[in-house]
Amino acid sequence: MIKLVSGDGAEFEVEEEVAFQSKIIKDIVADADDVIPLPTVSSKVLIQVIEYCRKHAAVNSFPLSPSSSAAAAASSSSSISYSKPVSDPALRAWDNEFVKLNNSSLFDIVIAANYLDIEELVDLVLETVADRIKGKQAQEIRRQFNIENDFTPEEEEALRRENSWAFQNN
Amino acid sequence: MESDSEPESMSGGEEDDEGKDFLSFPLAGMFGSASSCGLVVTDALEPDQPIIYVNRGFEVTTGYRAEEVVGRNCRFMQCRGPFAQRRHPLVDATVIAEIRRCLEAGIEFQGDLLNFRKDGSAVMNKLQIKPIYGDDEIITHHMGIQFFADTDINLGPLPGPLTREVVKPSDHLIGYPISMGHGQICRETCCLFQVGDEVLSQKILSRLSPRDIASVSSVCKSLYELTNNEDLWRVVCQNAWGSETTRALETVPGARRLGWGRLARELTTLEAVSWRKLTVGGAVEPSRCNFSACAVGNRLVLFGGEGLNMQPMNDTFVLDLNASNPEWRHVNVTSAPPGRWGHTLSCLNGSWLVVFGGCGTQGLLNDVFILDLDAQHPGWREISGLAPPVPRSWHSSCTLDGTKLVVSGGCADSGVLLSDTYLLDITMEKPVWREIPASWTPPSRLGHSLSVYDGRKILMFGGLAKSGPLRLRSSDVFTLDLSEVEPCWRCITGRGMPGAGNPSGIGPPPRLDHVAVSLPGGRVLIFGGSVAGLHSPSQLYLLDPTEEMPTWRILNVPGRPPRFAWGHSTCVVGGTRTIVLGGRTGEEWVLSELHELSLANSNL
Repeated sequence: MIKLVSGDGAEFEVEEEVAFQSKIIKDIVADADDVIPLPTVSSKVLIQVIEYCRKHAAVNSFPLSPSSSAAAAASSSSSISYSKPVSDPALRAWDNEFVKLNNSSLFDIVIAANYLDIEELVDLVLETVADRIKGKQAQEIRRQFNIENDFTPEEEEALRRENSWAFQNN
Repeated sequence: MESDSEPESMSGGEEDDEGKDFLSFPLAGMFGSASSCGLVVTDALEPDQPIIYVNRGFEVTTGYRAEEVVGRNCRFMQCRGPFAQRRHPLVDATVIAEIRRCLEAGIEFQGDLLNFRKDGSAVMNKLQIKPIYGDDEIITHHMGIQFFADTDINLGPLPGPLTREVVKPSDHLIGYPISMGHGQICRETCCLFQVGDEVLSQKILSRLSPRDIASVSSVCKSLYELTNNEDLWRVVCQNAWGSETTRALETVPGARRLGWGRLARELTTLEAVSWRKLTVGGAVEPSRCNFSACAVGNRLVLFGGEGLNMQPMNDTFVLDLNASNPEWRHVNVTSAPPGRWGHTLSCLNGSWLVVFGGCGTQGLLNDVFILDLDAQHPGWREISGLAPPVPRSWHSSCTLDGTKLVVSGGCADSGVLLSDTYLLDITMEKPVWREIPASWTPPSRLGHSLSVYDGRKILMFGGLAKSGPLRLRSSDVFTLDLSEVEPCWRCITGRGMPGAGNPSGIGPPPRLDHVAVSLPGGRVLIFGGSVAGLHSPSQLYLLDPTEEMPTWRILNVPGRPPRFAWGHSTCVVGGTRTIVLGGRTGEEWVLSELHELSLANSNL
């Protein structure tokens, strides 16, 4: 077990294969002890990140690896699956539920995931944020992300002309 | 906040907000040396619990001598230096509160308390306070046992205003920050970039389409700056158009000058599309028709064709458009394939040319030949693909993933029209033809076009198609998604389909042997070919099969179009230039006159 300590002092005990979804933690454990302070991650965010890692560790676990054989045996289907997480429809569905969060929570998670080097989680969140931008006009993006329009009316008019090409035939 | 009015002996006053700044310290170094153990005894029966005894360890560690402290309450050690009047803000109020609670309850306290030496330096006091009971169960004294340890708290210079001081942010991972607020950064004004990390922001933007980037750039100033980035635009274009297209565009010298943002605009709006005429030198002799041409980078390659008296040709010509004075050049290649016309010539794997089928002296063919144009001594070589499709001519071909040849339809022996689709992976060691199984296929046809869009999807348009007992020019559009496990043909639009009508805009009149150009973003441009009646074959038609309801659009462009354009003699160079060879009458080919449809200004 590895103990993770959030910035606000909360301690979380997690299995190695869960914690090792983070490349940084894997590196730290290799040459330090098993208590890992994560001063920039709040417990609220750390709980979400651990939830993600726990799910993905269970699905990703290589069935033949001894350390994770228990997890593989515990999973409902006993058939050996080498499929990657992205191609696993059940996991993808789980991921889609996981990211049903407000923008501010998503940003907190992506900062933590980036810091902990959990590539799949970073990709998942960035993709989710990108999806919230896609197909939207500038005004809708401002509303979605609570961004203030700091252009002068003249600048805005110039931009509207400059970018009008993108919205023809739409 | 604090004052000397506190009633408790060793406590330090009320809780305050700063008390949330919990400090914890590694155990290592806690017992630095034996002499650092202090012992203090206070009188619990006197007001404000004065000190009545300190040991030598206390004096050594704190710098205070016994006579300076006897008679005082212990809380002076929470003030920085002998002259400070108030408890230091970094002293943890929760610990003070806990001390007070223990003293009131008459129980033992144990905890870490920040103290200060006489010289103002900080010291961590691992403190135990034990109550000492007298005869009648009354606490008469408290004994404090103090293990002192150095701390790495940076307090700043001793004199000066007593402001809130901060913990030194020591090593990133083993450091102990004072507090973690909710979220690192205030995101009230602008949030997208409050991820505080430009790399992450760029990663979000790089997942968007050119249109989305245009929207994002109009949101606010910081986003405008962030999207004003050539690398970002390149990635966005690559995502939208595929890496093969962007790689091709990079070979166009003007594209780099224009910038990816501008290119994205021009290839989205097609606002800069225009016709122009080119005259090149050299000659393709002997003269011919029904040859096939194809682009390899900025070079045009022409192979075979039908000479005088229906003579099948097997020679190869190259026109290098990068040259200052481009001219047709006959290429000496070894082991030329048997002569033919009505074949297809495709470019694969960067510089490979692939010939398939056609009509030769011995009749129809189904052989495959490859030429690496960049080889030191270019030579044709036959690929004996296993399980080949039946021999044919006037079929249609396209290439997939840069490595696979797709062949569909055409005309077999005794004029039978075909409706099959085959795939051959040229890069395999022993290439095997694979028929795309389909429960339903579009009606058999020849002279149609195949265009690849959206990665691995194929769009079929027009041709001379079987319609009951007749053969009619077609304007039907079918698509096939080869990334599906079981690909199946779908009819997108067309008047020839039962019940389809043609509700979807002004479609191109039915035709065969036309030109189909795949544009970045999945759109397909159709023109030329053999069209019935008075319709002009030079009118351009645009279809976006990725739309939910694909609708034909007419594209009017300036410049003089060629009067005729045929698919087998037209090719796309560098993603932005469609070159139409000759075609003055369709019978007599003048190959020194070229028409070019420029898709972007970048060529000029």
